[in-house]
Amino acid sequence: MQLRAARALGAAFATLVSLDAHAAPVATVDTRGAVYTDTDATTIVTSAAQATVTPVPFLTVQGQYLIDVVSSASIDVVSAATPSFEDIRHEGTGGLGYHDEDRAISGTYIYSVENDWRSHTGALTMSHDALKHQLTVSIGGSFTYNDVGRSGDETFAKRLLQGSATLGASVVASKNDLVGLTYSFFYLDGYQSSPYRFVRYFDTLDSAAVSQPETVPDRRARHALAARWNHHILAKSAVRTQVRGYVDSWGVVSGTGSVELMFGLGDFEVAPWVRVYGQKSATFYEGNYQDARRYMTVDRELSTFLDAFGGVRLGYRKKNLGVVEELRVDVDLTGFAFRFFDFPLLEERAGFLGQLGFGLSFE
Amino acid sequence: MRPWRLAAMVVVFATTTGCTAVPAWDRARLAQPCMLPEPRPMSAGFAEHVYDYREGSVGGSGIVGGGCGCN
Repeated sequence: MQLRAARALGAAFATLVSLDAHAAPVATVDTRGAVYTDTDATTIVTSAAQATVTPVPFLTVQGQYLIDVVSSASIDVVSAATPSFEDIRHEGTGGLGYHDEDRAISGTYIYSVENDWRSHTGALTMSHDALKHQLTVSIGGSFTYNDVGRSGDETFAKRLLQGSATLGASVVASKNDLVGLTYSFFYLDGYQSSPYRFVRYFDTLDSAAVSQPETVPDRRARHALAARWNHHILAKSAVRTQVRGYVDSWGVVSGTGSVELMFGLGDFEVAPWVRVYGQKSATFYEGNYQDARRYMTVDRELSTFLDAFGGVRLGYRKKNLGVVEELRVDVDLTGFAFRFFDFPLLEERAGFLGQLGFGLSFE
Repeated sequence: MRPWRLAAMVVVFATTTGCTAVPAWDRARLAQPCMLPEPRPMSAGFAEHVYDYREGSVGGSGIVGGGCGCN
């Protein structure tokens, strides 16, 4: 829930991408459904619809509505003495983009609401082509205001602010290679714990077990640097690779690597892929606290772990169907597994993410 | 690593790897969907959504991410 700025910045970048990729269509409509389920008793069903209109060649207007339905009886929930919970999140996004031959700029606003969280995000992203379109430089920023609540407790009200900045460069390295580098910075200030998580430890002075709400620092600075390399190998086919390094002021250090082979076969597209991730825990995280500390958390996302995702994406595109310029259908099938090294309540987690998308573009 | 160092790395990277000039008429392959920075923004956004809330890191992707309703 601390990532609205990333979402807005991402949406703004996506608008920039759509400006390049879909300059010709006057309107596009896309819908998508997804199901996430894992062995930790969590299921998330997501549906989204997005429309983009290009009233004049240099201007794009974009809107999206998304709904998440979450049900969980995960170890987090059960350890908080709650049998399970269900929640629904609504999110609306609006964006406006302008581009000419060398420049693009887009702005995005996102409003998200659920029973214990409400956020407003604004983002602005610009890009500029230089050196005869050999180099594209992008810069973006965002700000998010979050109101954090606690279900069933009207008196609980916290605030979390987040700002972010992204700087990117993409280079045409050869007629078969595109490389890019992106640096992202996030700064968060405010309530970043979960009001539902409690840390248990044994108080040696009172000789009694103690349970208290988790506490983490109010401020967090996060840095990510990612490099991307797309290499064309055959007609409509490419190898796509990405690596990312990440550090933050809480002591979390991580590395990510992914590779995708994207094959174009006539109107069809097949893309098997794999992604691996490793993380070192936050400095204040412990699997078992022996006494009271200033900062204490049982957030497994702050622990040390490895994970791997992999799957296949299947796509179909058909162009020139009368008034419909392009029809798109795609299916994503993803499996994943986690191994936690110092989270005593859960050593492993596996799961599945499936997506089905359908889109139309009109001239 | 401090932000200004990373920014400097971006500039050095961008200015030293773009030395092989490719004329506009020879960029047909680069314009194909498989070479786009993100050919499926909505799909990638949904996946990023999962990464952001199942891992302790964020950023670097430049695509849609975040938000699962589980604080």
